[in-house]
Amino acid sequence: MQRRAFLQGTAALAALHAFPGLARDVQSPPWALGFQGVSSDLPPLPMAVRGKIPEACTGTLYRNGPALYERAGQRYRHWFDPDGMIQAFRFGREGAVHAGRFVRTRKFRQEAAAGRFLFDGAGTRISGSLPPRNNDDFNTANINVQAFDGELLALWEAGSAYRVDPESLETLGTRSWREDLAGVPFSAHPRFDGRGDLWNIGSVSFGAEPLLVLYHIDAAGRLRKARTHRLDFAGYMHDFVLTGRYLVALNSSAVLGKGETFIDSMRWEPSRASQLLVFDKDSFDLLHTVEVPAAFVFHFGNGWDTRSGLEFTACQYPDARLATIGMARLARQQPGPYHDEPRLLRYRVDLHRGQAAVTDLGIDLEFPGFDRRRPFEPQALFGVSKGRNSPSGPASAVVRVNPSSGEVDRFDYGDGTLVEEPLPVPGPGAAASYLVHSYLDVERRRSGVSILRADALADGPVATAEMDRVVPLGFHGCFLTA
Amino acid sequence: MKKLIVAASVTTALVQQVAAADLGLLVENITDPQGTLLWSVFDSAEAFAADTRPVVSARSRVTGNKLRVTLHDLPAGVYAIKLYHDANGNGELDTNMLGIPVEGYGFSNNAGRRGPASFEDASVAVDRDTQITIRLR
Repeated sequence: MQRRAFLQGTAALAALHAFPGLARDVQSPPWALGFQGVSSDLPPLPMAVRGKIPEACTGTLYRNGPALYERAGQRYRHWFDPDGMIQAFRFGREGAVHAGRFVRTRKFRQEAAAGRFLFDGAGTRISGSLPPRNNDDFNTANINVQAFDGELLALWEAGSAYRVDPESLETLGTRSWREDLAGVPFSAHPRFDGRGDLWNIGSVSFGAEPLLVLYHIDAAGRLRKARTHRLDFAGYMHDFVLTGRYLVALNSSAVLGKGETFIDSMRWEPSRASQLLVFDKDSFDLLHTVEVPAAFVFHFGNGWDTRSGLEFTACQYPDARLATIGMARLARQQPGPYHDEPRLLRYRVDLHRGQAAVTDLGIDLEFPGFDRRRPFEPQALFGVSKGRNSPSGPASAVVRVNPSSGEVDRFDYGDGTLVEEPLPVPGPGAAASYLVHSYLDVERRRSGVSILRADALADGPVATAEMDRVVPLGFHGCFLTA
Repeated sequence: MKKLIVAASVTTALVQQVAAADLGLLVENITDPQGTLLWSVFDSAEAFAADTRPVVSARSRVTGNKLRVTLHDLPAGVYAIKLYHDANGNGELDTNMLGIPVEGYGFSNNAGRRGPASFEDASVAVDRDTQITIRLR
């Protein structure tokens, strides 16, 4: 090191001591911009369109994610904590427009009135926090937004779904499936069958004994059945698999117990086998419990029935450190490691033998998506992936993977661009015609949406819409064609 | 409200004590201003846990987002208060299938960080005129 550079370095260090706020900026990785958060609704803003938006993509990309990171100088310390905001990217003849609106949950309204956070987060203790009435007091509705029964559902996982108006994005209250299901956990990852019926799980890890609630709601929003099963242990469950015949939940080896916060109570138990719980869709009877090596999964691909059982794909981690450490570092805008990347695995479950064979498909993949017109058939899986030689950080590539052959098509935007959950948008034919996803260009400080041909990702976007606005990095959403 | 105060006075007056005090209770954060608020005062951990033999128990009509009640001539002692908001007037604290309340409730000292409070955490010493505030959850 040259002497001059060394001196500058020393001066910089001294400055860091004087300005601790600056120190955070200097040490923050570039993608910290995506975890800055916003403090108010985002009014409609026209986006600059490049290329031609395909006719099939006339409609709205809705997304949800943690957005309100701070009140009264107190900042959340885990990515699961900030209040949810629905983003709407609308594509029409006039071009593209973005708007964002916080979900007015019971929590959001109470805390907005108080001018501070009142309730503990999933991973953050709030000083002077109040005891909640029930889970909906700290329901942030921040994980997913799905269209159902003419409305949007803003979804969390440990309490009620919130209803949101697709046009105004106004919050219309909680959705009650049945009076005694108010505030009962309802996962953020409902699955839909060919009739448009909604299936879901709710993981109750906080009671005297761990429970799993199963839901079947028809396309008109009527509860067909709900049933509760007692679990052998309180493994974290975020998503599940639906096939033509079965509902399959993974009771993971990240076990919830006692702790200062929900995240603090999560213990990775590598010597504890995880359980695939295979339920009959018609009766919700538990048919099989198949033990598999200790697994941690946020998201599953689709699943299908086979002669001997079923198959599905999973984005699996070797342990729970992404949840317990990585997501906290991201929210605190700290450098990594955020811990291991998710491997795309294929599970072949033989129900006669009670065994599962697991194959690594040779790629890291998260935020999996598939063509929902054929939910119970083997088909291409879309997702985000780390760029080649990318430092450990949010993903910069979108990919399509054939789960049978492992064949991959990818487009990599490079390290300066963070890509979010890609959604297949059906075209006129049988195949998914386009892939739509949001992104954040951290160098140019612009958020946008890319549209790619689903069968030719490597060719890059056919159209992008971008704006001089940074949208916080979020989780999941849906595309509603106009 | 007047009726309630009279009722409370009568009940506590039955207990012959030399030292007596007034306990003022302010209930805040009534988010659904209808129905009735049911409240009970206990003087032992056993009674508090079992929800039986309250020293005083009464109901007050809810008309706004706050409610003020005064218990007169309470014998000096240690008490814990439970209250719940019967917003829909069915006479019960409604719960979901997991047994978690969906109507408002509260404890003295706003005790019970997760779930029900213990008598110890909710207990208040009343040895002179005392004012407490309970935030309905």
